[in-house]
Amino acid sequence: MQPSDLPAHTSASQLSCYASCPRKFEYRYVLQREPEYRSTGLALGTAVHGAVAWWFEEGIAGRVPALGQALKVLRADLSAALAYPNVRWRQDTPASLLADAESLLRLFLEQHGQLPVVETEVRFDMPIVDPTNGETMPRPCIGYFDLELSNGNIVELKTAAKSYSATDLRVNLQFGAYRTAARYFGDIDVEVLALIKTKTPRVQHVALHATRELATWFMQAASAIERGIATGVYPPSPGPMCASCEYAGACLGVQVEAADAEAA
Amino acid sequence: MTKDRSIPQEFVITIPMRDEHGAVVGEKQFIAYAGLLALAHDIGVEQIHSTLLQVPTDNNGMTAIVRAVVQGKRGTYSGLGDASPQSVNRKVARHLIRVAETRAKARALRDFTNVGLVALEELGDDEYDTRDVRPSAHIVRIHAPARTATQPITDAQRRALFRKALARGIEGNDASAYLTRRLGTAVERATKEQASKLLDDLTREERVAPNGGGHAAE
Repeated sequence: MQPSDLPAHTSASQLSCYASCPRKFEYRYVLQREPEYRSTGLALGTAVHGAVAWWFEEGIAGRVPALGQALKVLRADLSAALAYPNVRWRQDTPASLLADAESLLRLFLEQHGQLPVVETEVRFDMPIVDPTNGETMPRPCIGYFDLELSNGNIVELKTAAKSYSATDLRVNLQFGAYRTAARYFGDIDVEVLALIKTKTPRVQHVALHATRELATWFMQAASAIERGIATGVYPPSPGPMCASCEYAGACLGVQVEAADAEAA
Repeated sequence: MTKDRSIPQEFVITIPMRDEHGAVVGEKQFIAYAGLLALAHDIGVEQIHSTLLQVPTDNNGMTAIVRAVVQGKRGTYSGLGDASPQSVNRKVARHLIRVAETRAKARALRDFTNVGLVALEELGDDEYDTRDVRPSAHIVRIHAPARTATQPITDAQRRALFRKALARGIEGNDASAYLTRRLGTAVERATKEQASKLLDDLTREERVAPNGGGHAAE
């Protein structure tokens, strides 16, 4: 596989994917294989994200959105996010997933529905420069900030099963990309609003400080990963994550979860 | 936003550049007309028209001139092509109008597809040695998407379809059934092309009957 088959841009998702498993990166971004299944967690996050974006887009368009409408959009987006040939439900059911999604959306809108959002899905594009030698990587990094506020600051919306720890916030490549982009575009503040899907859902509110040290760390990590990607060598990274990998069938010839269940 | 696109690798031709002594002094890449056409179909070419502007006669040095116009989702692009006995391969010297048309269409298609490589068919017989023509070993490929006819429906299309159903007041299982009926297949099995066509149809229908739903899903 030639490096020339890569997408023209890199992204925080590509960097994270390669860092977690180069072979998974190959399946997703080089060979562009469809995932073998869709997780309910991803479907829920996508639907909540879509409904929140709709809410603020209504406001930007000068309309006053209503909760009832937002819940309808959420249900439509959840149906769309589940319209996959193979959904891995685990302990979820369609009803429980919808209830979880609705409670997360209600919570977010109650607490943050009045944010002064002026734009959603704001694209950024920045070069990746190795701080050790000044070399610019061939592929720039693109990404999208979820919400831009009237004061120019950025809000990123996440859904997660548990709260982000201090280490998560420091080494997460996605957060690294956001804070570095924020610094690159003029010291914008980035806040993360994470919807935590615990039994009683809650919102974790974190400010991502765009310090020089953290931006340097991200650029070093991203440069190293980009060099690895450019070699065109994509070894597997076997481990516990294989059990939930969307490409386990192609990589291992077997769905690990199914095999585990059968063995049990 | 940068649009991803690909130049089908098998259609890229690398030709050695030779000096007057026949020594190779470099190489240059060209695209075959067939590659331009394949790429144009991938990105939504709808019509290609050509008009013969000049009939080859003794008075104009037997030069045929054709204008081609390419229309599609990316807009309308035109190109001129000429052919005379001096500018074509000897094998096709009796088919000047057809060569001029291919050249005109190639020029218009290059603009339409945003391909910077010159089409091989635009070159004259004396501009390269046909024995040197060989498929490219490599090319800087921007992306490698499959054709839309076989690519699966995208996440954005799924969402847009369900929101359009919602705008018509159709929700839940009814929405899945409605979209399945309109697509002719289940949403999860639809192709990108099928989804694109249905989205176009639904948008057109909304323009005709704008009160088919509220703004809730738009």
